[in-house]
Amino acid sequence: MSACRDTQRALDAYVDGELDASHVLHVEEHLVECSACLERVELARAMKRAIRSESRSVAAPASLRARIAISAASERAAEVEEARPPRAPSWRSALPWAAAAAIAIGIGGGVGAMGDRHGGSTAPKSELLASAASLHLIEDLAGPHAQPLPPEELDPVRIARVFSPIVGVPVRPVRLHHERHGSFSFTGARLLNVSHEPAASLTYNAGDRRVTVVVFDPQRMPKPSCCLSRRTINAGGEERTVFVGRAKGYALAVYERDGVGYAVSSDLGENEVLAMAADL
Amino acid sequence: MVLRETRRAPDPARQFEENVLAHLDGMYAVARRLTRDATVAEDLVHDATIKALKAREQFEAGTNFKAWLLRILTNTFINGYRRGGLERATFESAHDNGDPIADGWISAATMRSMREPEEEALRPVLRAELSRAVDELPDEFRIAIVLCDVEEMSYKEIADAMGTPIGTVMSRIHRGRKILQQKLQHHAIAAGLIREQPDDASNVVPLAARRAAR
Repeated sequence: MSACRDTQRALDAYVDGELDASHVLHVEEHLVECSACLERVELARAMKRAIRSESRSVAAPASLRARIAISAASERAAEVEEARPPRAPSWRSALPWAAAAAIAIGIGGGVGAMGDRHGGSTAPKSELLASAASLHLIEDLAGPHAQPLPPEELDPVRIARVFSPIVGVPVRPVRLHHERHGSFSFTGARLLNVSHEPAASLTYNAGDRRVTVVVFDPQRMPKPSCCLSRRTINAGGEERTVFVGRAKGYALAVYERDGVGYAVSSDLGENEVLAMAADL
Repeated sequence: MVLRETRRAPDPARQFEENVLAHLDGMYAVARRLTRDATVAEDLVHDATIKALKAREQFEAGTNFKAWLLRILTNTFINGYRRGGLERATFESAHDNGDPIADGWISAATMRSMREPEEEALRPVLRAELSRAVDELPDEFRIAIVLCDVEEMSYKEIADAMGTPIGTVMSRIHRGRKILQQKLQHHAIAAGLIREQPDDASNVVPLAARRAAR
């Protein structure tokens, strides 16, 4: 029995190949004469093999490879441009940026240069587009709000310069205001995939209220009409079509303006995201 | 790979990037297990990959490259993709009492009936259940088991990746596997592979009898 206990103590290390030679010998001597311990080893091995094969049956999606290639290219471009160590701002300590970030920023001449760099990386666009579906679009648009991740960039100038050519439309932080919650602070931007196409999410908050605006190229996306209801609102004197509804538990308003797609999601209600969509 | 641009003179940064991308499937497989969500897994792999590319100077030539990448992936997951450490604290304290070997005892006959007869593989009906059970493990147990079983990292490499002593890694792997075995046993009973109170070989339902019963 004591030999069984010793073996059981060493069983994980034995199965994982972490046991030194003398102990391996000791365990194997015991396994020859103890069928119960042999069963333990066999079951542990079978489970280990099953976990491995169940887990490794997935391959990294092509869209992920594309996204990494794009980010890596923009990192390289940024390294060359700046010729200084890559920035690594802690997004918490960089929060004072938020005030400055609320100022609308135009996009400069950097776009053309970046566009050239990415010519090769975005080539398989049609291949990626083929797999886009409008159901997934809604989920993807609400995703960054439902599962927020730390922003990648806080500097509005860099956001405009680096993100815009990747997303394909101008990406810039805007002034966001709500009559009851006041002005929202810009807390950063991040690249993501929407229907397998690059998009950018911009996050804002006012107190404990959050708003996420996903900026995307509507030319590359399917129409969101199948799962959201269509509304026509008055936006500064002109009529605007907005698709509104709920996704992943949050209110979502999707619309297009001047060839740029916006998806506003928030823990506020549908009417409130609609009002923000009218203001933007 | 379709994305590769035209060949030019080897640039160390590009070469490094290719080396990283060669491990993308493995990183994604681990990320799927850690995050339990395909979309979040993509974000995690993306973030970890970009971190690795930026930190390429810190990689020590001659050391295990895949383990280095997985350490960055694990770190990124632990520091940025979890809701917090509360789950672990309550779980580990609740399970720290008692003898880890004595609890969750399963008879040899039961263990045998969970595998394919005369084979080293787990029964197919239990494989999906095992996958689910891995997903349900608390983060610290799941991370240790996934790094160990899926990517076959050494205990030392796992300890480095998780920032814990080797003893902690061993204990997490051991406890995690005990939980998995118990869940499999319950499922095997529910599926009729074995009977309750499985004390000896006579309790194993013969395969032929189960087929006849259908």
